[in-house]
Amino acid sequence: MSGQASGASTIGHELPVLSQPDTGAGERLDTRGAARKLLRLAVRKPLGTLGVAIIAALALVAVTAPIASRYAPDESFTRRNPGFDPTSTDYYRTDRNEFVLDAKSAPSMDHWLGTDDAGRDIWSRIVWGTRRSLGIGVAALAVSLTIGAALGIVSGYFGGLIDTVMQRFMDALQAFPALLILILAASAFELTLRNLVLALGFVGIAQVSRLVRGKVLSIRAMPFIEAGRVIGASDLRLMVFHILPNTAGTIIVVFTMGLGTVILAEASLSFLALTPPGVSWGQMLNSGRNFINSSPWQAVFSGLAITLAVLAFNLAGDALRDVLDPRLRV
Amino acid sequence: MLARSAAVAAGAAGLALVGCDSGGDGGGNGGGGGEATPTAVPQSEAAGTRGGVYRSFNFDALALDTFDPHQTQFGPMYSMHSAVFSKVLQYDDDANEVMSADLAAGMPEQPDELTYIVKLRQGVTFHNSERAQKNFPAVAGRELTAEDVKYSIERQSNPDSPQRALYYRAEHWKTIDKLEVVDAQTLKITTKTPTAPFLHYLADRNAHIVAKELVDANDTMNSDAAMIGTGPFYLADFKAVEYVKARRNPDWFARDDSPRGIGTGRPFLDGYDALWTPQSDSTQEAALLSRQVDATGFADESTTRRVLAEQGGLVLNESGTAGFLNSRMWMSERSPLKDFRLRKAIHLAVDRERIGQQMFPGAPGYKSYLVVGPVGYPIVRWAIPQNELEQRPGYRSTKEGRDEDIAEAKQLWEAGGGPDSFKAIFAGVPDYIPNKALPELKRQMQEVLGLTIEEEVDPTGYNAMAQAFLRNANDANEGTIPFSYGYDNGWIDLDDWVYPYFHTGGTKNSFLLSDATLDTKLEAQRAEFDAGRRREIGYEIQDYLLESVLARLDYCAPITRGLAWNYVRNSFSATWFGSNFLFANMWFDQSDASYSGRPA
Repeated sequence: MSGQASGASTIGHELPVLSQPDTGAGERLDTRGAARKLLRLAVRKPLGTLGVAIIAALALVAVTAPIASRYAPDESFTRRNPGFDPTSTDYYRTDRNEFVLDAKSAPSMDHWLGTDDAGRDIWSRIVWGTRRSLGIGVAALAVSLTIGAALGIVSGYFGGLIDTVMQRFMDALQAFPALLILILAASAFELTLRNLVLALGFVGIAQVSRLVRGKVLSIRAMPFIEAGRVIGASDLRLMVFHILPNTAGTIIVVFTMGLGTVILAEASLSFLALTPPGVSWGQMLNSGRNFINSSPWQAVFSGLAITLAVLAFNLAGDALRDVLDPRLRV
Repeated sequence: MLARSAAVAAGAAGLALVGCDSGGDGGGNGGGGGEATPTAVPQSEAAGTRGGVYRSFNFDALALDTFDPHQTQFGPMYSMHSAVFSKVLQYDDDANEVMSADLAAGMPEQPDELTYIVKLRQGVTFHNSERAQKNFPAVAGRELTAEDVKYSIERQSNPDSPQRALYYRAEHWKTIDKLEVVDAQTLKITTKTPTAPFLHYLADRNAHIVAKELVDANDTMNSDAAMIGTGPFYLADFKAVEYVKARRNPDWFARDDSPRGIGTGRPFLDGYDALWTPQSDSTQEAALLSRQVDATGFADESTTRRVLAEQGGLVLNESGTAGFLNSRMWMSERSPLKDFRLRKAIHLAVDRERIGQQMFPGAPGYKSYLVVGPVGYPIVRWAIPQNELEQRPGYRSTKEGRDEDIAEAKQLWEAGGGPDSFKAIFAGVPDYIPNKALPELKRQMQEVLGLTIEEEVDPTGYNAMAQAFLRNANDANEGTIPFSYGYDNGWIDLDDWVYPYFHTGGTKNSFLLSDATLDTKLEAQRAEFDAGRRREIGYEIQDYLLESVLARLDYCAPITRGLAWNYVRNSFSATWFGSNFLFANMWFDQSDASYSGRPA
């Protein structure tokens, strides 16, 4: 089943049959058929399905955070002190406090994942952290993909000197460890969410560009591109309407797998206190590690959230790569 | 209105806020925890067991501003300085303000209220270490004279110095009318007016005496190589955020003093290594139990309690910390906070107990903080007694008291036409400020006053805040309130707690406060030599600040706890950084069972 030959009805311009993405999605839309295909896919790729399910759950949690969180992420809880004794003269004990912070309490019905050292509900913080992690991840990848794909297409399409110069620049960019660049950026620029997104997006550009360029190198030699040139299509038109759609599979895989990487990078920066204030899994993990003995749930659950998200995106990305790459489908 | 230079000083003072949490120190070497004075031990016992390098985790290796002992306002730096340099006088017990002579041969003679005759010890020499000989051969081994004392004081009050804005003690020395070197060992100081805290000025944490040759042409000595003093230890190595290594000064002038009969030949230790706290309780616990360190504190109080219960041979050091959490870089003379009712409403709305519990989480049953008034609670000589403070509006934690405070706060906010929101700049470092303190303060203000604080977080710590302060200090009001939230240094004398902050011309008066009644009281305490009467004036000032001014918003100060092995004798803890000279009294009791297994 070749993607190039499948779509006879779309785009509607001079080259209707030549520019369908290599996804096999051009067949007649049949709900029952699609469902059956999805089911078959799910059976064939159980780990990928699990990844997608987790991603869907995380997305749902992120979208419904105000409801799903139960409490505000910064709300701290107190409880009556059973040892309250206003006549006590031991100021170094809590006896004189009628209320004490409900800090480091174990998971319970009131606090599903327990409370942290500041008496805040860990579940609510993880839920709000999901929103932040996914939001930052998607936004950063949008930056990486937009710029990286554009550069990759231009580089691969034109080749020659343009390709050489651009790829050497990408080589240089990739020579630096991403975390180092991010730490430098965090030190050099104001710590705002916008800057964080731009920095995370920037470090992903080289990889996206490389992968897209590789794909473009194979596409540009195909007959439909040649045909486009013959009938006078401009370079821009060929790149935007014919090459870009055919790199969609690659971009989807990069997006899925890259999201896990970006989430991990954001968590790393938060762990190092190099991100703007806000509820963040990395920051939770960092503050929780000091209480690993007396209240392990602080570090464990935030660490699990990071692990789960990264794992889910990697599983889904792996499966998508298998599905979308014709060579691996054989 | 404050002059710009004063505003600069107040802005720079923001840098003094110290970014350490409750863990990591308190193992018995300053920064809190334990007795303030060493315990006397028989001479023979100490003298027979000299040697060894004391190792502990703490914050001493944190070098954030400058090495210059007269310019730094950064608490941890005082620790190294206090081991390396000497002062005319020193504090044996800062909580009770007990002093003794250091470089001086005895306490200064005071023929009248304006005159101090300081007689220095004979034969005091600057460090003669290899490092000193290599870097400053002219200083190495040179004898200290009255000229050095005169220079050290005049340096800080020199109006022509390019560094004049950084000498935050300059205001102290302004009281001096004449500084006369009578002979190599005698200095006569005449003050313009009677100055009750003058002896404190000579004993204060950074009243160090330095050699002129160590100061460069730009009037700085911002280099670890220039850390050459006359103290009990010389600086062997300093690696920022890793360690401070100090070694025994065999020529120390006080080596044979034997205070309280502890023995001659001090320092008893070969030296000490102050290791940067790795901020990981597991690492610190492992290092302590294997005796790779002799003492440490923990971030988690529960760890302290557990290790103490599980492991024999350890001693708990526990004491109050004078360094305090507050908000002070704001302008009470600019709207909306110009209205006292609004300031009082905020004061009442703040739940200090909850802030303390959040910032300094304790072990079950144990607190790791106490709420503070204008003078920090460990400074018992001057502070409002804790039981009294905790009954005052704004400090009450019982449900009944808190409800009353909240009700009054709401009334005052409404009566004063309090805004629904205002913009405020907060310090962005250390990270627990934006991540813990700021959300909690915002939540409390929203809950009690319906006030939404639109925050701007200063990622640099205090630079943006200081700039905003300067812009607004010049009669402007851009509607943004620089709102510091962090540690301030723990002071000793009453004067330091109140005068610089609240006097019209005070160097830390970032409130733009000008209150004639308060100024009169502040000047009165400075002129009062009778200790009892001065204490009464101190209480009056604190009452007035809490009832009629409410400029600085004081929250709480940590209780520091740490563990040390029992073989560490004459362990000490002060209320704040800057007492490492007391390491000179410390020694290892090798006959103690806990010493077994300690690596060399």
